[in-house]
Amino acid sequence: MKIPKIFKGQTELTQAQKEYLAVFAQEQIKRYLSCEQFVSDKTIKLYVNNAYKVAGLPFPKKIQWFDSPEKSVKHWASVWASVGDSVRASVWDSVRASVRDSVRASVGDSVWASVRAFYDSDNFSFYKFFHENFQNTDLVWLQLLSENTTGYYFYKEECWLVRKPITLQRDASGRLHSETGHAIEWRDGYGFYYLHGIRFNHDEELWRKIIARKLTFSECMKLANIEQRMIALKYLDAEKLLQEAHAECVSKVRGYELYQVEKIFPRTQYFLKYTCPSTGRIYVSGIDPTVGAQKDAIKALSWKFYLDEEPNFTAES
Amino acid sequence: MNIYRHGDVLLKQIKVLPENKKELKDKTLAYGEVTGHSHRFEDPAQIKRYAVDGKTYLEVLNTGTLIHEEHKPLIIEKGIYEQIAEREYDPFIESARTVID
Repeated sequence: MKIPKIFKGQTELTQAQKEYLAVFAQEQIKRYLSCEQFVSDKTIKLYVNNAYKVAGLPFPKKIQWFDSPEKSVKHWASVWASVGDSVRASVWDSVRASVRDSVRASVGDSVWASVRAFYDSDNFSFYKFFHENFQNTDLVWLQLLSENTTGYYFYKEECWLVRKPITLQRDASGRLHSETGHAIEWRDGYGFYYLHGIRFNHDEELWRKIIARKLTFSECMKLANIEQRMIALKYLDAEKLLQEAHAECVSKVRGYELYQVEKIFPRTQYFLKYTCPSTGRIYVSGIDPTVGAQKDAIKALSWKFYLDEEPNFTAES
Repeated sequence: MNIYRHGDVLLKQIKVLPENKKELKDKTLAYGEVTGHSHRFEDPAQIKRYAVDGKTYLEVLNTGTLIHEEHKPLIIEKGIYEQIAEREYDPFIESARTVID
């Protein structure tokens, strides 16, 4: 799809340019989420050499490929800072809104922000658009590297490149997710378990127990990370789990439910069950027993946020 | 005084900033460890963050929007706030701790 190039001094995108932006953003999303390497290793070497040239450095003597991020370690330096930004135009904001934000929404937030790879996929896409449709920018070499690798590390004499993953699975909302194996995995088997965007790193046992719905209430509450606990509660069904623990609801106010649990822990414990107003997700969180013993869900909520008064939120989400 | 809740982050309006505060470079209010998400202002230039005595404060220079990948945006009025992180009780170690997400 060809569009009229942006010209210097242009203050507003044309309709054709706006339409092209949407197509361009979708194509970028597809490329970053793809496990495919789009060009040969030989072409990638060309990208690397150009990136070094832009930074004013001699070409690296060696380009080393790694099968996964695990294999490539520490101490990396990017030419990012030395390349600088050479693209400025009066239509900058329009393009950023259309391209960068949509790539970020689909790629950055849901996938790459989670694994910290391709963190700049959104900005790079933005620069690529300008490179192709306004004027050449030196940043394009980094962009081309970023969409063909998981990551890259620039050293004085060597350049390290990490291959793209061989698997990348997401749920209907675009979050990394798999119930059959690593949601993201590289060719050497290195990968991460994810359930609906929540990372379980390499803890296969925990991941398996959750999808097999084989955690007890006690095991669930032992999960220190509240998001991992939330996902476990989602799989195991919070209501059912509380019933199995013979938890008694001792206070229910404004959607907050305070439960008293006997016999599982050395002494009586209290848990507040609540729903996130934005996501509808259910959380269960421990309450100081001295506060819980007052059997007031709102006091329990106040305790969670160190508030002396009743928490009348101006707004919450 | 306004009290805003954005997931596990609470902003409680206060009258003045404490003395001996140290300005923080990081303007992101909180990071999610297992999600890669964060609570931050749409325009970070509109806020200043400070720390003193283990507490965090926020100066919202102009009314702005607090955003997160999954929580709905919240409009935060101009003012000075204490940033409070949600806590929970761990029945296994029998003590309270800041919620980790």
